[in-house]
Amino acid sequence: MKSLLWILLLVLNVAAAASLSAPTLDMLVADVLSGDDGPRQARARQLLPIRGPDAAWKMLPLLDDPSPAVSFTAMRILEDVIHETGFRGGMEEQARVANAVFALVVPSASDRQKEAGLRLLPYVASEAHPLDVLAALLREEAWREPARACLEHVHTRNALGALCQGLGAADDPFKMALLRSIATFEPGGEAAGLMPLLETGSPAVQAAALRALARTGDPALTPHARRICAGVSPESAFDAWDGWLRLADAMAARGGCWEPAMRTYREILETAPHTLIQGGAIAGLGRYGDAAGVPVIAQVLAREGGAVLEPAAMEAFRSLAGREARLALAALYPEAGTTMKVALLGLFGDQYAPEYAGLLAEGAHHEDAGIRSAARGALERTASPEAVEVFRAILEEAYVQGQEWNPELEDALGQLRSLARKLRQAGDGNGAGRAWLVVYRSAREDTVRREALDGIRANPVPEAFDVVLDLLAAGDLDSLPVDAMVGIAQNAIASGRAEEGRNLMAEIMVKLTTTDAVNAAVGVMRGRGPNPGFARAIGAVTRWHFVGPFPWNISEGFSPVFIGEPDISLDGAYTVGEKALHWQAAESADAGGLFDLFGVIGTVEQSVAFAYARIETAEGGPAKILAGSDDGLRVWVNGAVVLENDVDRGYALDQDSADVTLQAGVNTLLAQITQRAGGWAFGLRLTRPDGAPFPFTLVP
Amino acid sequence: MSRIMLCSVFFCTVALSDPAVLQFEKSRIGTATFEAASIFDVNNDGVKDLFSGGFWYPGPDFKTAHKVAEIRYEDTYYDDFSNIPVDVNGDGLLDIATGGWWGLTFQWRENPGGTGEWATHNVAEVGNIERTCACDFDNDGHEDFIPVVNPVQVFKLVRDETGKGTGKFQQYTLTAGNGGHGFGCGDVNGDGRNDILLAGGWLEAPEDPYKLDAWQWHAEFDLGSASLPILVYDVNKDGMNDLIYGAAHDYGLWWLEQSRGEEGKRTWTRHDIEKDRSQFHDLQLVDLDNDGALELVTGKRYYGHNGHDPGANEPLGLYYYKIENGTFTRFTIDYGPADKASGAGIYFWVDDVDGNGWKDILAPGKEGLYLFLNKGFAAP
Repeated sequence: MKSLLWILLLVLNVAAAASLSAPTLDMLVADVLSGDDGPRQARARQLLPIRGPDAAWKMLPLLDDPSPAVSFTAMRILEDVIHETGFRGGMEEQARVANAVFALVVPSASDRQKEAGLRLLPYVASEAHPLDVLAALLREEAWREPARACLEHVHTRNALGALCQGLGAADDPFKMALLRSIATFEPGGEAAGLMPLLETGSPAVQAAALRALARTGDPALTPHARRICAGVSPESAFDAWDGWLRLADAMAARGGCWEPAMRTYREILETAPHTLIQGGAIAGLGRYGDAAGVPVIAQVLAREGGAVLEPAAMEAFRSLAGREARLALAALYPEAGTTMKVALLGLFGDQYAPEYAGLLAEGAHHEDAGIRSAARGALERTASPEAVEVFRAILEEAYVQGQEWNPELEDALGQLRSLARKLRQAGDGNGAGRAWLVVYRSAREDTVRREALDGIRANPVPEAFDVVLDLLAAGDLDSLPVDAMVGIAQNAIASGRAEEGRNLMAEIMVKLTTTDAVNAAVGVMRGRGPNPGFARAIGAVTRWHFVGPFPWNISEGFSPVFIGEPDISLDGAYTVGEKALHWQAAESADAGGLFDLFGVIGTVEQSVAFAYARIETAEGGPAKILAGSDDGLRVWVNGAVVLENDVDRGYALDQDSADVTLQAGVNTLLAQITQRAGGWAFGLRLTRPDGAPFPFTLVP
Repeated sequence: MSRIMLCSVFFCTVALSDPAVLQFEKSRIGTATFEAASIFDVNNDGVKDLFSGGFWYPGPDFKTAHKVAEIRYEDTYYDDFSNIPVDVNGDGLLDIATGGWWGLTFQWRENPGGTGEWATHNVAEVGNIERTCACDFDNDGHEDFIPVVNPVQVFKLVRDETGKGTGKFQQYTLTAGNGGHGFGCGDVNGDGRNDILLAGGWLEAPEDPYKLDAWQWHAEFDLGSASLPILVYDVNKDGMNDLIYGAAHDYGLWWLEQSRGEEGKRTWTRHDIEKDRSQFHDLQLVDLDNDGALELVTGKRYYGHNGHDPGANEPLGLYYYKIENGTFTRFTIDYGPADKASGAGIYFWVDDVDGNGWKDILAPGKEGLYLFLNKGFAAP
């Protein structure tokens, strides 16, 4: 009984497997032939393309099927096979599919097959495929046009050869069509074969032959081109002139024939009756030419009706490069009409160079509103500091002349703001700062003024000095941040306005009563190099005696005693392992009074060091200790702990503070700085309770 | 009909008004970007070959590149600022005399006679060499070699009794004069001797050029950062040699007219040839159009200072100038951006490489090595 069940199961499995096996090629072809059976055709469309060359060959006869559903499906499957084998197939499979497609265009093939073959050949034909079969089709009235189009798309050297072969038996209209196809190929050895057509063909064929040969860029064709264009019929005139223009382009592009090419452009420009061709010659003079083309183009524009070529001329002018070309364009400007002037100003703005500065400035003041507007718009785009001066003059002039504020001035102000932003983006901080300064002075609205102040803050130029003085005089210190004021003052000093700069710094220093303000000022000063004088001016203790490192464990906090602190002697020596540690003096050149203890003590971890200083004050009294450290910090003043912070942190100015009372005369400061891992740093300053620096001297 | 006739009249006008112009067939040789090149028969097979820096290309098709040597490369420069063919060791094969800025050394590379690599021989360390120039220092009919440094160093190939090179050079130093960027060699004062031109003046050759302290310095002009070479040529046919020189690292190409002022004192007057094109580092006088008169051939040295020279990023060009009555008329051979056009490099060469009777140009440079085959006059 058990064995019977096993046999039954086996039979059922086999039956199920048979019912799920892949359909055969013939089954799928039958699906295609089923015509209007949607699901079966869909299956065939999906599965036949991956059957490769065999499926392709099976589709060939189906193309002739009287049912459109069958022939249409066969064509789609053929396309998909080509795609699939092209994408996934090997060389052999691809070759077999190509052979199938070539079989569609043999003489014995049906019309439908030929039609399909000519459409599909460009996808399978390679450089190696001989194309005589297509060359033969070029001689058949009914097939020559699709065969020509096919060869043009195949675009191999053999295709070019077949097209040239076709010329022999072709009538004039088809010769012209063939020559147009030939013109789409890279030049090859066929050129010599086409040369006779330049002289023996009808004018239209000569024109087409010229166009086909033009791509060789052979200057020897020039006399032919001249003759053909002179004798051309109205119908083929454009072909002829286009051929000559293409010849000039090819001569210019291949190099070594620059002069003949330029001469050809000039000759075409003078003689071609079509503005399109003239425009092409102008474009060539721009793309390949030099400054000598500028007056030539200008002469053409000055001719009656020449204005229509202005767009082409402007494109050409934009293509020209080099100082010589810029000078030629600048020389052209005064003689140009208003429309051209406006266009040129646009070019001057987009391709700004010093040669254009004067013309743009002049244009910005021009009596013609259109020119004025174009020049100012161009100046805005230049991102040049010279443009700032032009806008400054415009806005100041309006102010001096007492002009009513008007939309044009509003536009000028807007353009200047845009210019300032562009200068900043271009990395010209000075130019941007100057621009924002002019904006600040000319602004009519608070929002604009605030934007300008932001700009001045980001780009503090010496010229902004007066603005700062104005703000200080007005007590308006919130308008301009400390770092901007310090930057302006320092720039003023650097630019020769030393006394004014120092006075401004003096004014600023008394305002440095908060950590934020001091921090901002220190940031600017650090950017200008070492400055211990500034550190002293903000109350930093810039000279300490240090000793360390002493091994220390994080868990110990401030409990261990290392050097008998707080009672210490600078003459003391401490033994750590086999090493004797002594106090050593160190000074900070940093603008914020910062000490890098890696430099002073050494690069260690899990250690502490001590810093000791003596200061002398004239009066004593209430004061603040402001200190920053990396990592923890304990501070004694005159032997008493005033600050203690066992912490893991990086250094910042004034991280900890403590109120203390200093005595008149000498006071001692002792600091213990812990080092866990990473950086190790320390800085301390003394202020009065209101934040102003506490005056003291360092005792050696 | 009337339009056609009008056109025909105009064509004649155009054709007649423009002077004849040479046409060239341009081709890129290899992919290398050395700045020096020359044309000579490298392998003695009777066919001229192309040589540039670290490779040579056998003629007549120049399709194959044979490695010469690994050339030191520093900061976009190959340490190889000249390729002067000369049989240094007398083995019948032309070797190469060279030198460069970075290596500080006048060298020659030995032609192995096959396709193997060439050995480089250091002759002497002389300092940063702007270019090595060939000049018949002692008027003996053999070119001597001057790697341009300050002061002037002359290297004379020691030859045996048959005139063959021995592989050795004799070095001479001229301490007079104030060198700089620029060097030339020619008869300035019409005494038949080759004088030496420097940017700040000229050294007058004595009767015996080996009396080194007898060379007399005339600080008569200041040519700035001048080309190598400064050409000595009677531009205006007045019987006195003038100078032609370019700004090697700036805008300008000029000729300096030699005249006599009061009491016969020599004076120099500068005339512009080009004002707004830049970096004319190498110049040659050659009869390019076979009319019996010399033309000035020159072009831009692309990125001579890595883009820092005035006009560095402006179009490149290769030109020849017809010289008539002191007037230079430019004919452009090639012109355009660096990815399409060719300049002249620091050491270009002119020779009829294809034997068609017209001299061709081999133009090296950082933009690539280009051969311009001269095809004679273009159809009008």
